[in-house]
Amino acid sequence: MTKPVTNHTLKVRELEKVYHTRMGPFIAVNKVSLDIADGEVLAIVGESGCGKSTLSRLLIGLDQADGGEIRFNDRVLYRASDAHASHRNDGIAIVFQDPFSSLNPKMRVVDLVAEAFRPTKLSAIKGWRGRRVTRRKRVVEYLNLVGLDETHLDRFPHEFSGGQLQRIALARALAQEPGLLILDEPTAALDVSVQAQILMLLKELQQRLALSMVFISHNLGSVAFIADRIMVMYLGHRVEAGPTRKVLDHTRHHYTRALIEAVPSINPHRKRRVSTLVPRGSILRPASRSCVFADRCPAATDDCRQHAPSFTEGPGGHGFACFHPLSETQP
Amino acid sequence: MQLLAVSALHVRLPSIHRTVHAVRNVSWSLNEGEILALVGESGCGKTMTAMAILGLLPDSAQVTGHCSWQGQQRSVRTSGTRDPLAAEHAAVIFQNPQTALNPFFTISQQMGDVALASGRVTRKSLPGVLVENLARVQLPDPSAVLKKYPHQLSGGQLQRVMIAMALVCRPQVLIADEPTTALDVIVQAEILELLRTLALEDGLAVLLITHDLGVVASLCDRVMVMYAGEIVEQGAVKEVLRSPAHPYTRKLLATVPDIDGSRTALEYIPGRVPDLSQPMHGCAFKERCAHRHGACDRVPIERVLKGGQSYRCHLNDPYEVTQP
Repeated sequence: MTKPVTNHTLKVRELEKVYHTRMGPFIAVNKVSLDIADGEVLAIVGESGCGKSTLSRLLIGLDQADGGEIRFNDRVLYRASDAHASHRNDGIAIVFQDPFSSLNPKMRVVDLVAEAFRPTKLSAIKGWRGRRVTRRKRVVEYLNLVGLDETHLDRFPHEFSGGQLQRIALARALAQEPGLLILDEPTAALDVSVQAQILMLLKELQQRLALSMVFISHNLGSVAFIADRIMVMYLGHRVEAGPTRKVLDHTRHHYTRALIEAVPSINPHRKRRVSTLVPRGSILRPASRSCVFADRCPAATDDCRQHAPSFTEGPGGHGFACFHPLSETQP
Repeated sequence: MQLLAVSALHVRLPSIHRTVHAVRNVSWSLNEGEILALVGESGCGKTMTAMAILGLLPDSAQVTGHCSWQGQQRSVRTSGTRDPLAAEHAAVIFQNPQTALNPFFTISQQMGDVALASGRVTRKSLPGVLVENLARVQLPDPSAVLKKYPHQLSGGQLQRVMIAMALVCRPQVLIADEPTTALDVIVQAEILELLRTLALEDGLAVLLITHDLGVVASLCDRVMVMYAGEIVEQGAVKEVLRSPAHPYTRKLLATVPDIDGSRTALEYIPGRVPDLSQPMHGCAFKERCAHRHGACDRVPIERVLKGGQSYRCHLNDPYEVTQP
């Protein structure tokens, strides 16, 4: 499956975010670079606290980065040298993890979705009556897109189930006509059967609208189902990135391997190997010069504790940051 | 050896307008050293089933049924009184360890309270017992952990503390209500490994409430599938997951995306869970079932297959389900 190399929708270079805490600076995102092509789904995986949600907040402009550059459709959204580089999330929309708390309980569905419309969308129509009718019609179009209909227009969020609410949140994001959709663990708060519905819907929308997506998740099963490429993060660093099947089948980084092994499979005959990782302490602060993963890595040597490996990209866009990578041909 | 047997358990939750029948006629048993999974979507009555046995339901709940702890027969208590027999035999760990522990007290204070209340630990032997139990759940440096407050520990460590706290009462049955849902995959694998070790080495029986079929496959011995307050299928994990007999179990298994990426499309179950406040006629799953026929308006009987797998459906041969 070789996609023609198209222009990149999103280009991120060496993005950094530092939180200043009482115990000193905490680097949540450390020099992360990524590219997303038109119509591509990039999954960001990693355990909690690895910086994947912070990264999504930086992309959409909810938080300001402390270094690096974000370009979107050849516009610079953020650049470190600009003093007032706070960008609006133009053309980037986000769906949050928990639809129960991300939708205002006092607003009807029609208002929730229409709130996201661009101002130019309705201003061409004369008269408030006409605008009102068109507004409702437009909302129904977006609701149809996510599998809801006009009977849901005047209801409040509490009248819906979790899966339906996530659909409304998705309609609201699509109403912004985004070039890039960020999904921050969109199925984590949902039941298994509903999860499958939302994943199918996302895949269908992605193919129909040729949407670019950033899919943040720690569920490798759904990532394998939906993503074209995967980026694995550990403590704010990008440790491995590449096409989905390459990363999952020909894993190079020890952390990715541990993540994959930890996923319980529904196949009762597949034996799960016991994770070889050294348990993590509660302190998430690696020594500054070493490899971030050195403390827990089964293959760590003195070299790893003295220098940090740089991220090197191999053929096919499969890159990793490790001195002692797993061999490419493994069972 | 059979540790716990529950029979004809009903839970009703009355409110002003309607009465919700959360659990309807559920019977099951748990053996020594066995890990039993209770699987189902949210709202299907998994947690209600477990909490009813412990007497941890709200006061308004109406509970009927019988349970026997190691042969001691007992009717399940109504209206939220805790059964001393249950307290003696069982302990429970909850889904979110961050909210299950009090943020104002240290681990040693909270564990100490539980240990002393169980009446099996004297004040003198308390420190030793606490350290021993924390070591049992493979927490490094137990005496340091005792002095800490919950916010100083990570989610995985807190869940280990919760398990240690449950073990302090020396239970034979551990009820784990979605113990790994709030945790990461790697930490989840560690906690599951720990539960497995406890079951193997100490003969602890575990009732694991979960909706993750992957967890069931990798950890459990037997599984019960719940739907709308009823157990629709039960049996050994290997058999149920390899050849599910009930259409609901089949659908549930088909919804899980696997890491192989072998699935290009996921199935999902159309429709919604039935309203549990309405009286149920016939099979509970008939509205969403692809194999519905005339007989489904009657209550299905329990059918037993070879190897002890049993299911409630009018389809008399499980292989009929694949060939409509």
